[in-house]
Amino acid sequence: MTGPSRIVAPIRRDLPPAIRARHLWQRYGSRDVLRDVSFDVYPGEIFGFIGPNGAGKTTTIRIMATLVDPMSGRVEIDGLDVTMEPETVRRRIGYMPDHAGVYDRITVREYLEFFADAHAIPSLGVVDAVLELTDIGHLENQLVATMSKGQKQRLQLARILLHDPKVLILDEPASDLDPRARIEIRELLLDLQSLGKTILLSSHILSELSDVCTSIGIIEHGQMVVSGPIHEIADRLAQRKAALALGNEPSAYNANALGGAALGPSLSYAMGPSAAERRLVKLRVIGDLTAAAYTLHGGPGIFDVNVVGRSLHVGYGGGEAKVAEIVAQLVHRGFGVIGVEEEMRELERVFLEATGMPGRGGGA
Amino acid sequence: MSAQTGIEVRDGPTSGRLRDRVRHRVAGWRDEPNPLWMREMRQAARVQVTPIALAVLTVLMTVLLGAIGGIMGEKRSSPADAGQALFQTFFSLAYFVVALIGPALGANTIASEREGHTWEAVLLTGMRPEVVTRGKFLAAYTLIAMYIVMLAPVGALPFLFGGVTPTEVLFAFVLLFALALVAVGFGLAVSAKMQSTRGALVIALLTAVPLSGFCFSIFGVGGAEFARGTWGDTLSRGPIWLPRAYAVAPFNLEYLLYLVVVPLVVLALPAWFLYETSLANLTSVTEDRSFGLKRWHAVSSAICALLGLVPLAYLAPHESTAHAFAPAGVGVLAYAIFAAYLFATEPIGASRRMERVLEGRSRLRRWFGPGVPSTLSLLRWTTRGAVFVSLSAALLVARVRSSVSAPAGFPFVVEAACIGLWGFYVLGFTEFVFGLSAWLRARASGGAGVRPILLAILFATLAGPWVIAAITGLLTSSGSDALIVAALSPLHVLTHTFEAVTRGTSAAQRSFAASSISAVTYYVLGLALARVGRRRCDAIVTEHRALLADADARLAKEDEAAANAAAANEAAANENAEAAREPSLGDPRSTDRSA
Ligand SMILES: Nc1ncnc2c1ncn2[C@@H]1O[C@H](COP(=O)(O)OP(=O)(O)O)[C@@H](O)[C@H]1O
Ligand SMILES: [Mg+2]
Repeated sequence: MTGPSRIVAPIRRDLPPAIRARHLWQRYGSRDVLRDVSFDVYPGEIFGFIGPNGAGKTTTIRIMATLVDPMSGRVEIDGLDVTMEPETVRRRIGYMPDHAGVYDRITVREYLEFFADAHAIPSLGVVDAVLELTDIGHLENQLVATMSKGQKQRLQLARILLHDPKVLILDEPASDLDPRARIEIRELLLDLQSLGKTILLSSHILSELSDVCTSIGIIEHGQMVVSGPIHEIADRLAQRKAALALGNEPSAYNANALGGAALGPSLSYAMGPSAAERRLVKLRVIGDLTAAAYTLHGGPGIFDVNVVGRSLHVGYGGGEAKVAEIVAQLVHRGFGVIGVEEEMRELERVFLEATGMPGRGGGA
Repeated sequence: MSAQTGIEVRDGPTSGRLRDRVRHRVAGWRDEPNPLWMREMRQAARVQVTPIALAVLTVLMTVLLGAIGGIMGEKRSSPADAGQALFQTFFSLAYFVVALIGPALGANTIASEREGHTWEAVLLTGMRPEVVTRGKFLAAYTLIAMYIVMLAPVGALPFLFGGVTPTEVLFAFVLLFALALVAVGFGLAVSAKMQSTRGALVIALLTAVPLSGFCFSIFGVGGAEFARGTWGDTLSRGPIWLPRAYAVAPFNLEYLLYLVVVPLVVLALPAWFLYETSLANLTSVTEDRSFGLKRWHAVSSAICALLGLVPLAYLAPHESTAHAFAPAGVGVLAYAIFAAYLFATEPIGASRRMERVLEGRSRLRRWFGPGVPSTLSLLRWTTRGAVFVSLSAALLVARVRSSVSAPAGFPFVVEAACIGLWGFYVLGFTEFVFGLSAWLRARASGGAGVRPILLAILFATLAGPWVIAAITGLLTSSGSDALIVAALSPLHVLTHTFEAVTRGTSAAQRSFAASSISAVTYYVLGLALARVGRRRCDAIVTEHRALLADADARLAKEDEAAANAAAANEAAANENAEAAREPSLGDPRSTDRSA
């Protein structure tokens, strides 16, 4: 999957944004579901759109995908207003809805051929090309009904790549995937980024795909809490901390300090299991990392397991005893553990600090 | 190009001649079929249930027909009678099979995509709603056509007995295929509106069962009576009379009218309506989704007005023209209520996008465009036109009749008074209906609830006065006076005023006056409601436009500020760059700084 051949495409912040959401408001009944949501996504970025269930992610995404008209505000994709030019915008985006369905009684190839025809794509080779790109070529004659969840997700990605869109909009692409499928999607996203695609993906679990994101936006109760490149947000927060340490008024810290995004008043944001209890440990393990991940996945007190490079990142709840237990479990199954490093993810730290929660020690 | 058929290159037509263009078109249908239809067919090929259901249906029909044939044989009827009976039974059953399976197949189409969360993917491919509707329609129609074809051998059974000609059977099958168009279209139209397959299926069938029974008794049983009255006993008594009528009726104006025009209108007008409804429900609310329906409305209101004139052509010498004119008015009235209901949830004004799209279009196109004011005006003028046409035709007929054979009928003045009153009542009441619906729509924010309220009010105005009249009649025990209250219902004109005026009874003047006053009241009320509704809509549109303009201005200002900031940054960067280069030129300031 990951090859040395992958060239990381540069993120072009000097170009106009590929996605530009500006002052979006949306109301359902008497409830404001979106309240002045603004953010920019630059060409080549992977933007993580993160917030709890019901925060307004899907609503924002459906506005971007020309499926809903906002009450007010604009979304521009590739410089085009989505409400004014929906047809052109539809040709430039690939949208994968959350809980998307597939046609069951049809083969993978037939499924893609249908969408190629529906898009009126003037080339027969495109189906083979996307099959190869998403690595489901070996399934082409299999019925869609018999595919696993992860394979279906890759099929969806293949579908939205058919018309070669510049911008990919993925709503919860990794929710309810097993660790292996999640890793595969992650790799696929990086491949797509290297092909020059701009990607926006949403998630209600901060850690899910965060390590592939170059920028994030955090939304809560329909308001953007913070958005921008991860390192910039981290830097700003560090400045803010320093300013606070010097005894400056917190109010001196205006909205601009976070790249134009206002800081939400107070946030009680729980990411799946309570954020405050979640910890991360990085384990360096000899042997088949994926097999090791499966060993741990779903165990008591373990929230998620990811393979990152040569190490295993395990999100868990509990104290140090739990770490010892994890190591013991791996050793028992015959995996050599050669390093244990407890760490809080950068993004998670950013998130907690941005939302005013107490940071946890042991971080960067 | 089609990936599904694997055909890559298609050349254009070999020449601009009509024959080549048609040939190219036909080849296009073969080489680049509707993608949705193609996919559905591929899916259907994998369903094992379809062939089983087809086989079971065929066997059942065969057994049933065999049994009927056997019974007829026992009773020693002639083979020709048995053949005719089998023919009638088979096609009556086939009619109901098509009338129920068609909507069921249609109902399954779009709702199932919505339910299975595959719909948005289809929508975002950029396929036009027309293409989607046609693809889904073709898929369901292909299936039902398979059912009909499977039944064909059973349908040919009556031949063995005689009494049925091959042309008759052929026509009957053609009619079955034509009926399937409407049946599938009906299911599709329901499906296009619904979110769940089960809901679509339930609604489609719940409507199709009584509707098919109703149509069968009107056009089958009632039609057979009418046809025997027109063309004599050569036609069978059974409900499947039309195929033989095509074969035996003499070709004249009546043939054209009853066997060509009426069946065409009865099939084509609903089919077109169902197509446009499906299309409207598949089109985004911000588009001009009711344009197609408005086109349909313009044509169908004209056709309805013309069909309403048919009774005038069949007046017996002793009959009154006013009575023959009554159905035309009822038709216009009923149709107007239907149209008001149909367009009751029209958007208040055009969306930002539609406004731009319609900017350069003709006035006529904008008249058919979205928004309550233009819809109101379209409804009013088409109805006024229909009333005007039928009213003047009726007056003309009355005038001609009175000058040709005055003594048999009523004096022209009486006829004209009745026709004029009824025409004006219809006009006043339809104005009221349209004004009311515009006013209700202007008050409801999203259009929700407009339809039920509209229907409730209209029902109350049509039936309410009778109830009140009945109650007061009972209380005062002077029935005929109390009935004046019922003049508030348009039906009163037909049931009482006509009667009173033509008989010249003492109550005639009062009844006539009460009806006239009611008509004027409805007319004025309708104008007032329309005015208020339109004003309100205009205000909402103006406010909305101002908000949009304001938002535009703010966004533009923001853009400008960002551009200025970027320019300033760039300038600063340039300065820095220059400053960095300056030390080599020996600038003291730079040296200072580096020190
Ligand atoms: N069509 C709708 N009608 C009414 N409420 C809606 C509609 N769509 C979304 N909502 C509400 O808006 C809120 C945000 O929903 P959503 O954007 O789906 O959140 P998320 O994707 O972040 O979980 C939810 O509370 C949801 O109930
Ligand atoms: Mg969501």
